[in-house]
Amino acid sequence: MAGEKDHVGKDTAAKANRRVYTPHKAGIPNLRQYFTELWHRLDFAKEMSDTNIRAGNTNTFLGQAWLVLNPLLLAAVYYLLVMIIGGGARVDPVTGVARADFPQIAGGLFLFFLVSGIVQACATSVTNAGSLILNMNFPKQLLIFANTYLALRRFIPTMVVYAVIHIVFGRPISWTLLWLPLAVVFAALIGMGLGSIVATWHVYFRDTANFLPYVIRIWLYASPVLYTGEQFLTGIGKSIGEWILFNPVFGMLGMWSDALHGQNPPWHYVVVAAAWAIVLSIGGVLYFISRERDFAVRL
Amino acid sequence: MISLSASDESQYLERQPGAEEPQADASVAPPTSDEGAAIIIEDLHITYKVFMERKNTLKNALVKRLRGQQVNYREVRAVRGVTFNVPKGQCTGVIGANGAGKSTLMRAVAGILPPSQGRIEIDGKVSTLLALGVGFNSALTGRENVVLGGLAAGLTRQQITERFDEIADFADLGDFIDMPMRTYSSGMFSRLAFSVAVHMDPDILIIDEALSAGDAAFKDRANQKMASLMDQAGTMLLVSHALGTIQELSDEVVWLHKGRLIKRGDPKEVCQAYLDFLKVGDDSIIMEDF
Repeated sequence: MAGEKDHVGKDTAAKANRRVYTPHKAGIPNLRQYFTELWHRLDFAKEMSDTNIRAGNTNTFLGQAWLVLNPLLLAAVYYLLVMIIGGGARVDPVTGVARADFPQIAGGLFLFFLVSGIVQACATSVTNAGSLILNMNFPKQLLIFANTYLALRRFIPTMVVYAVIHIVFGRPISWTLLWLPLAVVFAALIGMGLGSIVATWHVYFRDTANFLPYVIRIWLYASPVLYTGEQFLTGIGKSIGEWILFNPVFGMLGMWSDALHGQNPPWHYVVVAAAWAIVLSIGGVLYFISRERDFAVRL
Repeated sequence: MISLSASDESQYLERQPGAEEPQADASVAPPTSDEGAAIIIEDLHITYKVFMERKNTLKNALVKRLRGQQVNYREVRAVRGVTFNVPKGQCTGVIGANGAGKSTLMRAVAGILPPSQGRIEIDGKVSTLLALGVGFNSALTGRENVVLGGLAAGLTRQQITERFDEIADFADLGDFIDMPMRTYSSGMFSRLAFSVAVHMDPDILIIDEALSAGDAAFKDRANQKMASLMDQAGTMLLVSHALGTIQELSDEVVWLHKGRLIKRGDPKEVCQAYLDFLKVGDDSIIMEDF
């Protein structure tokens, strides 16, 4: 089998510290052994996330305040752009409702930026941990887990901001809100999968992370964030129609939006979101693992 | 994927090509038995690519691809067919000139660098003290780095908590233990790195030119700690240019030159052969790390 063969001979199976290193190019290592090691070191991912919180002063009052201020400012900027400059607050004479739905836009933006934030944090996670990687043998996927966990922790204050917007704008509080945690899990899995792929590319090409802001901006406009999934399918995206489902965040954002509007999401949104989350997280993680022993040579 | 090609010149990048090279002697023949060995290295080759591009960027690679060009690289054969073993409870010193492949060999034994060919078998828990330190992040405090390094090495939080005071006392950093490591002197950095490495309860300790930065008092403590580790049947791989230290601590010495094993055996004899090859006397080299 290609890859790191940390296989253990039958007679020495009991000796957990016996290892064999053999040639490897880009194969998948023994996954059972890899994930056992990763499981035993999960505390490392948590500690790394904690130290990043401390290093970013997020545990101070002003640091915590920034976690709330940041999404508030983001929401304010888009309120100005969409509702005031874009005329979204004006009532549509045909439907009798406002042209744009600010809570929907704010909620969509927050979830989209959770995904893009995870991707961006993961992108440089390997290159930033260069000295650790060059000095210690550990499952590098822990770096991706640490950044995903950190982004999820930072997302909690953002949801508090959204809850205030939701209530102030009189949006329904219903059982459909129970879909939200599932959408957040899908967002984290999609972000982690894409983050694993981008982090690997960034080891080979150090300007990969520089392209990310542009790619993310285009991705944002091609996703149902500033408009609903239905608006896209019936209006903006008529020409490409159902192809929008190939946007990994489309199903997840559709679920999110429907749940916030007090409706159960259509089953195909949930299936598409789940499929993207599973395919990207498993595919991204395996791709990363298959390359990770090459990282020490490239750093 | 971007296509790669070795440049037209010699495929392999070599330091001082054509310079006089020492001949390997019979002492480097593969060991007849690996019984009781903590480290078994069999025909190990490590080759890696060095990219000849000014900048290794996606933009450059895409531009080259659009022009129909290939990304040029050369290969470095850092380790070439090395075979030896390290018996349990023994300290093996590794000597050789710069670029001999010593650090690459240490990283391969630690599982950090994958072999290109051959096999490495390790029986025991490995702790590394490599030339770059212990992966310390200078933005974090010494305490945070000790915890992070310990968790990455596979210790539990409880094990680290139990050992933390011992690690901090040994490094003797005082209040600096709670200061960001960017405020540390190189000696303080080195002391903490050494302290973490030796307190991981390793079965195999790998030290790569990382012993010289401490002050005289610390060197004395470090010497005692290493002796005590060896007394507990620990196994050590020690890389140093300080031949005095190598001779004092090692039970056996191997001499590497341009990735090849040249001589293996009695420390004094191998060190002398190395000095004879370099055509320098004892006074031209550092003798003591401790």
